[in-house]
Amino acid sequence: MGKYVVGRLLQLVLVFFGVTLLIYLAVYALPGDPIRALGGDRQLPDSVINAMRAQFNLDDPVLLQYLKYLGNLFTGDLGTDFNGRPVADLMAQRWPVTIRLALTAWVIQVVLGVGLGVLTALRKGTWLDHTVLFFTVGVISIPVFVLAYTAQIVFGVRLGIVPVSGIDEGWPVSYLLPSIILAVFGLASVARLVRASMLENLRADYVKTATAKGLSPRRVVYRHVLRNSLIPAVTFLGIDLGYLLGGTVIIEGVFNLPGVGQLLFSSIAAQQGPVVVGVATVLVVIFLLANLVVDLLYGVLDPRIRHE
Amino acid sequence: MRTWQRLTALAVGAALLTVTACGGGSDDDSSTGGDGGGESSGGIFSVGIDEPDFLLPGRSQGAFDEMHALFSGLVKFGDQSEPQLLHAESIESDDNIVWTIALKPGWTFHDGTPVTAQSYADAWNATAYGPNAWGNNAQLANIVGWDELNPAEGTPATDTLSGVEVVDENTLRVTLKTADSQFPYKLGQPGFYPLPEVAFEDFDAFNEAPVGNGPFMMDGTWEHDVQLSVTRYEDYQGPQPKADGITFRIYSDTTTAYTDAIGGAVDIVSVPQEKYKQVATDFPDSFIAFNAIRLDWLGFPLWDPRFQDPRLRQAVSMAIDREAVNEAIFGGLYTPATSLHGPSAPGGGTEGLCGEFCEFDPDRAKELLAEAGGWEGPMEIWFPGGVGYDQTFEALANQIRQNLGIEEVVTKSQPGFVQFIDALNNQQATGPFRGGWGSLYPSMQSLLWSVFSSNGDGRAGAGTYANPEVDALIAQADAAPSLDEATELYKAAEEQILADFPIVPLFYAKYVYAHSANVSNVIIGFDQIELTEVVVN
Repeated sequence: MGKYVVGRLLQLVLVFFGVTLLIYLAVYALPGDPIRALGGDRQLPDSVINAMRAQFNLDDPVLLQYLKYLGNLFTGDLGTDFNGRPVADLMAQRWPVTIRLALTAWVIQVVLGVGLGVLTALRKGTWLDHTVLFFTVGVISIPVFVLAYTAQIVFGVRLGIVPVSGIDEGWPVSYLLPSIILAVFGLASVARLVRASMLENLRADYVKTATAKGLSPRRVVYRHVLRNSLIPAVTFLGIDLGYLLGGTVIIEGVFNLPGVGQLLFSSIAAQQGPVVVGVATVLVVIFLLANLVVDLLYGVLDPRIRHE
Repeated sequence: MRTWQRLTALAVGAALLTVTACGGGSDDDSSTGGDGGGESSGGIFSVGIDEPDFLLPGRSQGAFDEMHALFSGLVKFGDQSEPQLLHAESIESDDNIVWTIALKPGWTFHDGTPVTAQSYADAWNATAYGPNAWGNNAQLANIVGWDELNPAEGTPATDTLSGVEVVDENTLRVTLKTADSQFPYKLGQPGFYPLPEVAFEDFDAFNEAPVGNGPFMMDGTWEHDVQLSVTRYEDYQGPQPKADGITFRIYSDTTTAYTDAIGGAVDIVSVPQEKYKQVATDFPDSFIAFNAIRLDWLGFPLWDPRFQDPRLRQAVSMAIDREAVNEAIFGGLYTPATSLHGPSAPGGGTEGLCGEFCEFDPDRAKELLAEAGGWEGPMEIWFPGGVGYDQTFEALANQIRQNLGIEEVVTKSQPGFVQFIDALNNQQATGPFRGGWGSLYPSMQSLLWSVFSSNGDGRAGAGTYANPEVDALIAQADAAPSLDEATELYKAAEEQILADFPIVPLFYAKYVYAHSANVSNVIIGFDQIELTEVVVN
């Protein structure tokens, strides 16, 4: 087990170099000159453009640029954006916002998703089952920004029970509405995954055995069926945490939360290489770590899966 | 991405049509009463803004409202199209080449140090110094010595502008490379603001909490992506602000700022274009559309032989129903253009100069197209995608398709502004493209010289149009002994441009702002919001 974890972590290092290089090449390959575009309709003087190109090493061959970037990285310098703000500062400011948002949404997904999944599986075919099914399918089919703007107008502007936008009121008040919007999409998937998996397991032989042994129904459901039914949900939730951390651009924009999703979006549009590489690399590492945790959890949930 | 939008949105200019306050009635209900001059209402109001690029005046290409709160230049405009002296006592020249600027004495920076002629000279030298790579560098390009600070290669041998001379503590003498009757207008741009000594110790640190000379001073430091707080500067020598302070709330999405303003969480916001149609419903008594000096147009790739015949370009112009597009996209807030300068320009603008070619007449358009030899193959319309132009240019493409009888009119949406600018600079655009210019000072010179002269910094927007006669007329206007004569010569230049018809004028654009019931006396002018005038109810 320990050896397995060390091996996986070593893989991370390799992936780190590969990913940073790939992202660097991708940003470099984007058409257009980001420095020239800084002036908008007004051309900047050549002297200014040349000075900025030199400052960001943009005149070097791309591999040399990448090596310079890596070199600086090892001295703890992640570079700056075109406005001279250190990328490290940008990330230190924005990651906490996104992490709060994503984790809040994720916890809502886990609790409500698994809960609804279990409930609907046990009450299969009842009005409760149908109602939950109806709403989860309904919600998934609404585009996220429609739901977000509507919720903002209703709960923020009309009812005034949550702030319309911003993080002025801190966690949890400012994060409540965006987290719920973010959670409902994954929540529907989790609930349906757990439900389907539970139904399958409820018919399994070992359930009959357990019931025949005289175990209480509660113990059969929670100790055996649920535990075995969680594997698909755990896989989903692990990957979903990664998506929540990296894919919250729309929600961050609508609710004006200064997180990394927005940062990544605007940096790609402006072709700010160092920012894109920095943020994207952290995202990749989070994804990989989440996957590692998922793999380890399999072993805990199902003793037949062992990591030797 | 946002910076250029704000920049182009900041058209500066205008005269007769000052504030088109819709609804009105919001001015007199404050408790201050009286003539309203210099009285303090107290209180703090909030303004929704984008994250500024920089707060250092020489570098900032977008943060105009923040800049006007923290700094005061030599002149300001408000809702007037003539420069109003702010820190300058007088700006004079006999030949439009050597300018003597006298300062009002007694002004101080927020740290108590005096604002002197040297404060201006130091700031201008830093802005004009090429290796500093400050965005407003080009605003000083016509001062003698700028070339030495911006060599084509290598580092400059000097770091001061030889054309800027500090005569005494309160007098500056500036020598220009070429005569410029519009120099006093240009002094309102951030590139001409002063800097205190403390700025030169560490520009980056200064940028986080600028010590300016404006009506408001920083309260704490710039909280990136969150807010910027300023409070009244008690020793300010200009017009006293009515409010005690301003919180600039930073939004990444202008639609969110707008929604927040409906909810009352922010007091003054710039209205995003997609809300133009509903702003009169959401803010019936409190939205303002100010006629700035800003033109939207359709440019042509004049390097492409297919677009050489002016009749083809005129045909495209006459095929566009500007009124219909204005209603459908801009909620009727813009004005269909009939020249390059709307009524807000000095001298009353040039409306109607375009003649029949800016009128909607599909039959005449088809005739002109036939005279020009018709059109074969697809006509491609170029614009930057995803930054607010998509709807407008889809509509324009439809108009050209339907009214000109060209079967294939397709939109070539570029992935972003970076790629779009590149396509123009590298002459890769293969069809009519989005053009726009917001004048940073309300003189006709800005648009005419920058876009239509053969060495302007925005000439890519006119498809690299050049005409020596236009150059000569602009130069004559620049050298004109009086502003009136200058205006007449600029009009003559514009007449020549419209005879050549390099672009299709579309709309005189506006600044559109909305405010909550929490504030009144919100005046929008060429300097955007008149922050010192805002009254907190």
